[in-house]
Amino acid sequence: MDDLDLLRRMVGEAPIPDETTRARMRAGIDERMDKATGQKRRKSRSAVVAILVAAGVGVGTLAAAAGVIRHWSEGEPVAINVLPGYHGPGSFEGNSLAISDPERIVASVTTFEATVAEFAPAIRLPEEHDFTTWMLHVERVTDFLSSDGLWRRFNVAGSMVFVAECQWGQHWVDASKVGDSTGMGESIDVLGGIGAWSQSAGIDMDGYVQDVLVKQMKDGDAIALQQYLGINCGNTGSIIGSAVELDGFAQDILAQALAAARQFYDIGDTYAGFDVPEAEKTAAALAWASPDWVPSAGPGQPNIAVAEGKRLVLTGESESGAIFCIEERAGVTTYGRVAPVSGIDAHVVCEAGSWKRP
Amino acid sequence: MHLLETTSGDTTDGQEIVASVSDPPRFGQVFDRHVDSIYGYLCRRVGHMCAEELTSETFARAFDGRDRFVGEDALPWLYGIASNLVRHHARAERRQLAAYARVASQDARDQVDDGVEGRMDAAAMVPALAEALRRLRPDERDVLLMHAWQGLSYRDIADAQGIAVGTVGSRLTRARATVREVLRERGQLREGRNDG
Repeated sequence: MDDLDLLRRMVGEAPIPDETTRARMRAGIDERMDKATGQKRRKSRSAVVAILVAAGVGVGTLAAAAGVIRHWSEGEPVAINVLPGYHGPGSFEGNSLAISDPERIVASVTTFEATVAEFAPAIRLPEEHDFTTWMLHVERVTDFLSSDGLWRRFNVAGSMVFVAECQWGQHWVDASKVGDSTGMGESIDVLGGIGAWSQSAGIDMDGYVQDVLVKQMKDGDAIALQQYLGINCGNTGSIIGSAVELDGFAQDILAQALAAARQFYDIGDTYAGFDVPEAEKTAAALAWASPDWVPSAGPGQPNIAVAEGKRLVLTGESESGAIFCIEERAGVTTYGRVAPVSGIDAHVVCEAGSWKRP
Repeated sequence: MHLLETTSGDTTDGQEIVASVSDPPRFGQVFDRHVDSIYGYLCRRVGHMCAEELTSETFARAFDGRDRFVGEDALPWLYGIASNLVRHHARAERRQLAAYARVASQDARDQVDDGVEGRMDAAAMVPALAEALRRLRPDERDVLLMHAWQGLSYRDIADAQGIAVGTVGSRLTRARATVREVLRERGQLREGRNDG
């Protein structure tokens, strides 16, 4: 049994979509084909709606009108009803939430904002926090009129719960820095409740929030939690403006830069010659720089500090002031932070341990 | 398997796609032929929760870019699009890997048919395999999983990723070396038995 056999046995047979799922997916491409031909496939759509009705998903019933969304309370940080029954691993396809969704595709900024406004009172955030920054981020990166318009109401609700996880995680980090035990305890309580809801809804398949995030908090492991926030919440608009968000953005740029450098390496088995013009051929969207000794040319720019043979050092500055780095040396990759440098001939030193690969 | 899917109708994917540029509904054939494969792949990568959305997105992007498709078999191309989408859902993929590690998939245990010792070994290795997959570079993980889970040939993977066949080989070699290294670290690999 070799490693490939083990990997195959790890996952077993490939899942096949059931008829309802296949019909929903087909409806998405049908709509696209219809738009392209200037026709409407009303018959096909009706068939999909019929299937959804048969599957127990309400049609044309506003969630709020059905009383499935309430204002959050002390003991219920997510006050969105979950349908009765088992919603364990893999069951979440929107129909574990009692949210009417059939053809309510969120296909415009207006619909999206209305949906966020509808669910916002049901999801508890730290005091003085809201969904505005995240909402603006989504609007900035989403083309609601194209494929991203496949967002549905339950996707919005699920994403908002994720935003709450990020914000409560950040709340704990902030509180821990000033020794605010009340704030730390509040974060643990609320995230515990969010985790329990997510599991009952089948969103959090393996109890990740409670097992990992809450455990990190209870263990006082601020570094691990910050890494989680940087990797998972960075650049999502969930906690924008915080150091974690800004650092996550810088790290994401570095990861993209590394992928480009590795493509170059794959061609000649060397990093020698990987300079700004070469880098731009592979990843033109990045603002590449290659300063001589300064480890950063400014936030948002991946810098090629060293590119020779089997060694590569990329650095990138966060707007928080931190300068991160990735070093590859003979096949070993180090994700770290640039050590302070002094003197114009100082070399960049990439100290490992301040972040993990995304 | 996908070769059968491609040629099971009267036309090839390439012919349907070319025809769909002027007659968009023809693209529905491509969807019907390959939706199960793409959905299955995405379920394995990011779990059921995201697979439906990403499958829809994969076909939507393919439809939008159909005028640029060249070839006969669309499946490698679709796997490439799906793999790119997975990279934007790193959180979902991490959760799915965590789920594999925690559950040590009953399916995997059931399918190991080489005796009690083999079953125990396979189940014990799942957390280490998940850890190894987490450690891989995204491009290495894509190549490894298209090969191991979906059974794609080097040529198909090269088409899917838009890279040379030789690069597929080097990425696969590096990925498998990482997997074996992690298994070795975790004491799950006995030299001379599992090196494949």
